[in-house]
Amino acid sequence: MLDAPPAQAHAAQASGLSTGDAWHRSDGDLGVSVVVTLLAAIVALMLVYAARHVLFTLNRLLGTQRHPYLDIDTATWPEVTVFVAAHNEEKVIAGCLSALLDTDYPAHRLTIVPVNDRSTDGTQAIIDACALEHPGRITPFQRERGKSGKSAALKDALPFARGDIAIVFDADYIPRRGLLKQLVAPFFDPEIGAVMGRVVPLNAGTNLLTRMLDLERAGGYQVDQQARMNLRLVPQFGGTVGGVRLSAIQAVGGWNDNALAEDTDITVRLLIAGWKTAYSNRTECYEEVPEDWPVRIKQVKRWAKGHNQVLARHGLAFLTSHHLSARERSDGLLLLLVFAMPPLLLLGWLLALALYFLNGSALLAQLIPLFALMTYTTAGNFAAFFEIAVAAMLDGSHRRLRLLPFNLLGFLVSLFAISASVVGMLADHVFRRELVWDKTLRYRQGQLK
Amino acid sequence: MTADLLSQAAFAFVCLGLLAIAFGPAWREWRRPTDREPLKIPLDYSTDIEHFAQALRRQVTNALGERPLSGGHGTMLLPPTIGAVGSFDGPGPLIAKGPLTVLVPVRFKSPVYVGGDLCAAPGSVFSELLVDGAARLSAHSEVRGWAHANGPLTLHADGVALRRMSSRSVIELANRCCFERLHAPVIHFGGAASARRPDEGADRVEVSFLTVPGVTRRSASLFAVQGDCRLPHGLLFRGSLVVTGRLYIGSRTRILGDIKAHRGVTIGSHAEVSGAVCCDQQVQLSHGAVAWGPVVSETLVLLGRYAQVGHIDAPTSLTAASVMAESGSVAHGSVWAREMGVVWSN
Repeated sequence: MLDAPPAQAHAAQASGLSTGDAWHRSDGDLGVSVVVTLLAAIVALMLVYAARHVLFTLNRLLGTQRHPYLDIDTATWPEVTVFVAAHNEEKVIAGCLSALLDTDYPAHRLTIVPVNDRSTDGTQAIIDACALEHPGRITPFQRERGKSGKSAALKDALPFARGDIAIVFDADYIPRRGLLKQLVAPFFDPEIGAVMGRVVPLNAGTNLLTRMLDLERAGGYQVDQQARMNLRLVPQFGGTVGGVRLSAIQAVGGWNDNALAEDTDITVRLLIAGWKTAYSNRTECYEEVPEDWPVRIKQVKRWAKGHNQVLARHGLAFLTSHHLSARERSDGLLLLLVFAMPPLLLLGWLLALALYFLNGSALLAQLIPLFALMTYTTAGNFAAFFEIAVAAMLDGSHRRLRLLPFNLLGFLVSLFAISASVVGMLADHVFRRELVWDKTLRYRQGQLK
Repeated sequence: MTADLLSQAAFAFVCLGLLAIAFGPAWREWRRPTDREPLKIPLDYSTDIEHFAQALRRQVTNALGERPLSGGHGTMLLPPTIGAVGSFDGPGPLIAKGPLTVLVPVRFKSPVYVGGDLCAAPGSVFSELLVDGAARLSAHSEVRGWAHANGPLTLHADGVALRRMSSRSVIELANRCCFERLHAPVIHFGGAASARRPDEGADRVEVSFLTVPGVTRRSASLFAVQGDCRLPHGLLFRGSLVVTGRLYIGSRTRILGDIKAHRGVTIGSHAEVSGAVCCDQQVQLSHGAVAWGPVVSETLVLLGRYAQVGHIDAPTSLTAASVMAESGSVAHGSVWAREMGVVWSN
């Protein structure tokens, strides 16, 4: 039997409990209090995200939509270099180059640089053939050695850029004729360091996974990114269908080839130094989304690792930068934490369940975990689905919303994948393992018709 | 099982049941897809100013190619002179093979093609207008859709140009004209003004932005100021500038770069910005000020007398929610007032 303090011993006797039981009861109450506090904090954080999602959706529906640079159709267009990152992209590279050659951007101001990063398939042959067919318009960049990954490849290729603006495409993208002008227009604003367009899945209808991802993309771009642009928050550069100002990149330390999510890394570093990212919702471009769950899980894990890597590296600098407005700082912080939330969410669920089973028959104790569970599994996580729903309506595709319940399952998969990634990242840090970039598979068999 | 457990089980069952209801339509949509096409992105879309003009021209060419002109598609040949008040309506274009003079107010609800010059009486209303020569729309005329002229396009006092108006030569808008989107190598507001030449010979003293209080360097050619910034008169600055507050550019000062201000830009008289002017709020170009462009405001652009945007050799874009152009100002390229554009005179 444990030795209890005298006051507690007296109270225990008065209630008919033994002294030992009273001591255990006291410890148990403390433990429950800690769990409840932790759970309440997690719920509060989830509600912040919920409020953010709802705010974005309402803004997209009812607020003033900002497209300040969209109407720039006549100008002395600056020199631009378009980089097309390619690693074993023989299925799709021709389509991308063909679309770029068809652009209405002044040809004498445009340099197209396919970056062939040690491809082992026919990618280089296709690029060379294209360059021969269009002399002077395509400048191939071949990379035989060096660090693996798109970020490293682009870093090596960037010194060959002409002009101060670099536009980046993945090889599976198919830019339309007017896209380059729309992407370049925001750079007339000297405060803009990066620009992002909207990616639209071309293989949206392939299977259930692609249909779910199509809905997610719609929510993320049509509502989330545009709302952040409307509210002067933090639109994010996505690494493709976007561009960067090279002098700005140089001023913030150059392209980081040690980043798994170089897009988030760029966005944050530019913002810390005072440059903004512009999002252009009407600058749409087709892309491919994963068609298999293993590929999708790998993609999500990479995003999570990369994103959290940026959080770890730049979180403090972000919080203390004097170039940020209060709203930018708040939204940016929420953006940085987004891939740290899933493990917290899982923890919250475990805490809620533990609280339920640890609290016996006391009604109040039963209600706390129950309501906590309900609150952030409905208002919190599902708020993102509100964005998806509105995005689909804005796109005029309302029937596909019927699939929304399946997105719940997709969300659960992402939840566990991201949580595993966070754990893996912590393990990488402890065991000093190098982060490795995994390329996403391509599916398209031929050119877009 | 206790009553508590039973009630909780029932509650959980009801919740799961309600959740499962949503999976019914989801399952059906998955097994029998009805909406799975990717979002339509027109791959050949571009900001072609003459898009509508070219479409009408093709329509007219096809119609004129029929022998005899059947009129079966609603096309109608217009006489060289229209002297009767009325309105013309129909599905097809109205075609004047040569010049057209409209002597009385006429409402044209159908697209109109004029193979020569057009002279329209005061109060004429056009929905869509394509003129191969010069177009002169007298006072109180309206263009409700679009108008394009290969030659000069003139809209006299109190005219209204909704949607777009373009010319391959010059657009002249008289006082109190309202407009939305204009495109031409030269756009005169309120009357012709001579094109301004670069101010090569002015004796401006070149100074660095760093001599201005509060300015810091952000990159090799970009400078920044927290708060308001006032640039003195008659100086030359190289580089671009970002201001978080209001920017006042002194008269005759020249900036060889782009500028951005969050709370307002005022470009003093005969001052010059050789690059873009961007602002979240109002942009004001004073008397004789020049911005080579683009000029972008999310609220209002005020063009003072003899202010100039762009140059005939370097057309640019001016875009804002509202544009108020004082008589004598000029723009080269595109002017887009998303909500309201008006020409006024002091």
